[in-house]
Amino acid sequence: MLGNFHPVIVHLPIGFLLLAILFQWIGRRASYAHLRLSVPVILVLGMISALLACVTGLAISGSADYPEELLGWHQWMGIGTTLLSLGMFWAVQRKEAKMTNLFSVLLLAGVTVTGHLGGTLTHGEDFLSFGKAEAKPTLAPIADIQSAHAYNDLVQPIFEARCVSCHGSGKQKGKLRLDQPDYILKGGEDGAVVKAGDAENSELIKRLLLPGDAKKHMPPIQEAQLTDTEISFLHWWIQSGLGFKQLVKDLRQTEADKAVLLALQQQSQQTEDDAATAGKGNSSGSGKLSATSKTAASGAGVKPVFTLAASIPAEAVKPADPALVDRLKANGVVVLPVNASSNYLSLNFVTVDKQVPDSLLNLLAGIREQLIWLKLDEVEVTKAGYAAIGKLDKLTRLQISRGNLSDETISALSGLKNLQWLNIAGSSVSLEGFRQLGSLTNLKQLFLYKGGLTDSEWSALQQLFPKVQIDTGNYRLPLLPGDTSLVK
Amino acid sequence: MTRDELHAQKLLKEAEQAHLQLHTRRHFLKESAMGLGALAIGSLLGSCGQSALDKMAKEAANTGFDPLRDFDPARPLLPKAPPFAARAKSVIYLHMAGAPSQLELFDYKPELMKMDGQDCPPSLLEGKQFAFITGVPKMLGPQATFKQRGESGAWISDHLPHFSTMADEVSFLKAVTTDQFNHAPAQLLMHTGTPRLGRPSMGSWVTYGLGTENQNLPGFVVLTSGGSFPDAGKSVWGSGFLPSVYQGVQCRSEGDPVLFINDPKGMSRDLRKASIEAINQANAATYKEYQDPETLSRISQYEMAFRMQITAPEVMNINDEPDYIHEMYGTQPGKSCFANNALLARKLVEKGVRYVQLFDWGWDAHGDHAGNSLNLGIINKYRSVDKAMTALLLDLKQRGLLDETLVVWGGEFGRTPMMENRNGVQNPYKGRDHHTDAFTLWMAGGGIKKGFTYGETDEIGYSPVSGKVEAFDIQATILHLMGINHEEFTYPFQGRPFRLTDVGGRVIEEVVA
Repeated sequence: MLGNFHPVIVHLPIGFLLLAILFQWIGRRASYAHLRLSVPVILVLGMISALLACVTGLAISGSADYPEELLGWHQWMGIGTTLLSLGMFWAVQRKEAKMTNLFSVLLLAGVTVTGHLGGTLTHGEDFLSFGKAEAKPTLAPIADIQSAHAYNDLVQPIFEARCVSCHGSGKQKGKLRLDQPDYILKGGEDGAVVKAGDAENSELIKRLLLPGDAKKHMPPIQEAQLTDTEISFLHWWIQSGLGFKQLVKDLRQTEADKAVLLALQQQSQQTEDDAATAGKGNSSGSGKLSATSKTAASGAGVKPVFTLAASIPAEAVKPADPALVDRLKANGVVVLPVNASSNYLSLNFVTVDKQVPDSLLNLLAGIREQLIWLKLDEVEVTKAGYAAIGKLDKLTRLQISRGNLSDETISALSGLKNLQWLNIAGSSVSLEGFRQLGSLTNLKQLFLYKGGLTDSEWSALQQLFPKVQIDTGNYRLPLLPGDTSLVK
Repeated sequence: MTRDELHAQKLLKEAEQAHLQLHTRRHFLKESAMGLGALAIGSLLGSCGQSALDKMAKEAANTGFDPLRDFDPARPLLPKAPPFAARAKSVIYLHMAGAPSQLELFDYKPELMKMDGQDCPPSLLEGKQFAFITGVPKMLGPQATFKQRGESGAWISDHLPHFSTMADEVSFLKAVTTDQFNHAPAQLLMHTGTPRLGRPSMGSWVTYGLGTENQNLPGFVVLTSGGSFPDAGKSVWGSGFLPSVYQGVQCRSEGDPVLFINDPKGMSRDLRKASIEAINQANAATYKEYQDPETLSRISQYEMAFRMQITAPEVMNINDEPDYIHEMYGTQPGKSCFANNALLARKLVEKGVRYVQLFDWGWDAHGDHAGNSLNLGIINKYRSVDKAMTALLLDLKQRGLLDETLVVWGGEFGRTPMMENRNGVQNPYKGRDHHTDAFTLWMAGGGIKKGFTYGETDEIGYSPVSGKVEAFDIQATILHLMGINHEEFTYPFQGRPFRLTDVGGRVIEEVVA
């Protein structure tokens, strides 16, 4: 809470201290000597506000993900600057002219550097760059990626542009070189970095995919990064068996891989286009129009982590007991096969009364084998009812939202080993309650809208389920002036 | 005659007329055949009319997807399993009627800016038809500032500040084309697969094929805003030759959602029930006599209306939503607006409604007056939908509904890169004419890739360069996401099976996750 004020308060010491230095310097001229009278007062204000900035800064440092090293520098420079202002105050009071000059110069440097580091923390590395200092493109334009040489035309240029400056003939950080096939296969000081056919467990891919602020993320965050398309491409290249000699079309590829490759081709052409339009100038009036790739910079798109179609088990199952299905339908439950040629079932309690009787939930045991999607929205279930749901271990998608699920009853769900998607929006479950779901190893998505956990509990929860995409909802949209006004 | 006698006579006459109306050609043939004892006519009957239709339906059943196989006319909206694995269970289709300009929202064309004010090159005009442009119009640069948004880097203009944050949630189709340059036919083509009247709309097809999960609510709901109906009128959500129960149920966004949903004063629930039972008994007797399945649909509609009286007011009342939800959508309770309809759409889908169709009227940016000018009136249109459609996506997302709900946004065609010159005279305000060759549409949720763009146009946004799609392709894709193969999904009518996509349509696999 306190930390939230840091971004506001920091501007006070910057202003005060710079003003003090300015007055001190301008005051050298006799006609402005009176300005020096106010320097001690401004310095005191500067010191107090700097101290406040330090306190709030320390408070905010624990609550957000900042790159550690940068944060450390900013923190100590900030504290140092505060001490320098004390030093200058002392020198001014003692009328030590030389010391005052020295301290004012140091203080100016301190304020500037600390401020810049702070700006970098919040706005990112390039926030001060004027114009766009763009990283040089990795790939020359490729007309048809399928007939390109996988290593020579694609992998090698990417490594060359993004990796080899530290992992090449000049430097070999971590004893790794990525400039020649032999070295790539050999790996670094911790062993191999690529495993043919197993991209997931290849250190190279792991490092590329680590979050930007992680220490082991590659390339280091201050350097030019690989695009998502390039990473997906390398993933495919390793997965398809590390072909150093083949053309792209000779390597194994799925439909998704083809999309990635196409996106890489588009990316390479786009950089060409940028160069082309820059030199071309106004081409209007010609009447003949050529394609432009500037319209879309998009990559291959992202697949949702969960789709209905993908959550249907591949193995067949025998049909459910029709008498039981009819009984459920008679009680208002919507019972449907997930598709016409499947025996797996989807159940929705949308037309069942709010208080769901245990007897109805107990019936579900009879279709345990078939039941994979279950939806209970705005219902109240008893403890025994939850226990009955907890036995439906084929479920891949479960929604028990806006109901009465609690710490006491959530443990019932710990046995749902196949669950990929869980929506318990509007339930009052605490962090302790969620610990009981640690056994749900197949979980991909968790919906906890209106869950009522605190901010720190949310991050603890994410640590508890590192692989799960947690949607805490509660989205807000800012009210912009245009939202409520009309143009006339 | 007294007044009562007159009244009774009138009623009798009405009953007689209704009776005659129910007499179809079949009854006439049947009765005259009996009367004359001409057996030959009987054999004729065997080869024409209904029995031929039955035969055809049977053939269709053997080849494709035919919901008629387990069609229960007494419960026509019962949910059915999709023929193959679906990626979405519901659709929310946001149609901006009048056709929004792709060049001011999504299709960024810096080259067009350079041509602003110049005469249009004749090569662009040869062989083209426009609704209003005549002679040589001037080019009109984008009336918007564009930026790349999100990780995907999709270009979205500053006119949509809220939606700009959604770039990584949606797939853009940048090269949609149509062959209709007037609103009504183009809307009909988009929603019914033909520019002419009389075919079922997509919502009707979907509810016919899949039914709907909540039997207490309609399966296909239509909500309109913007002060006017779409130009194509109610036909754009009509059921065409499908049973009438599948037509869109239009709900009002102010006052009672459905007219007369509340019982009038003095009418108790029991009395209402008794009267509906009486009507249904009469209808059941009619059905027994004439065997028209539409009569059974009628009975079921009365029953649903009775159940809806309990469910609908609750679901359709957005006033009970918390304040922060209202703020997120930017609703105006008590008024008719797109934001209210967007929130209502979420509530309906949450309760299992299959297909919700929104029409927002007023996007026809000709520039012949300030109200439809690109830099005046139309900006207000952007503002009226930007926050609400963003809120809809976020709200569906947080409720875990986005992975089973397909959201589609688009118009019926695009706008020209040229400024409109009506009758050869430059329009007084900045505006663009109807354009059929290229426009943008986006889809989100329900098995659609996130942060993806398919298709691109030339450097002034005039023609597709790659990834060209048409209305049939969009329809085929929507059906595909709902688990239906559009080529097998037919209905027998006038002697042949009909499809939503007629003889066209390609599933746009590129945007399917």
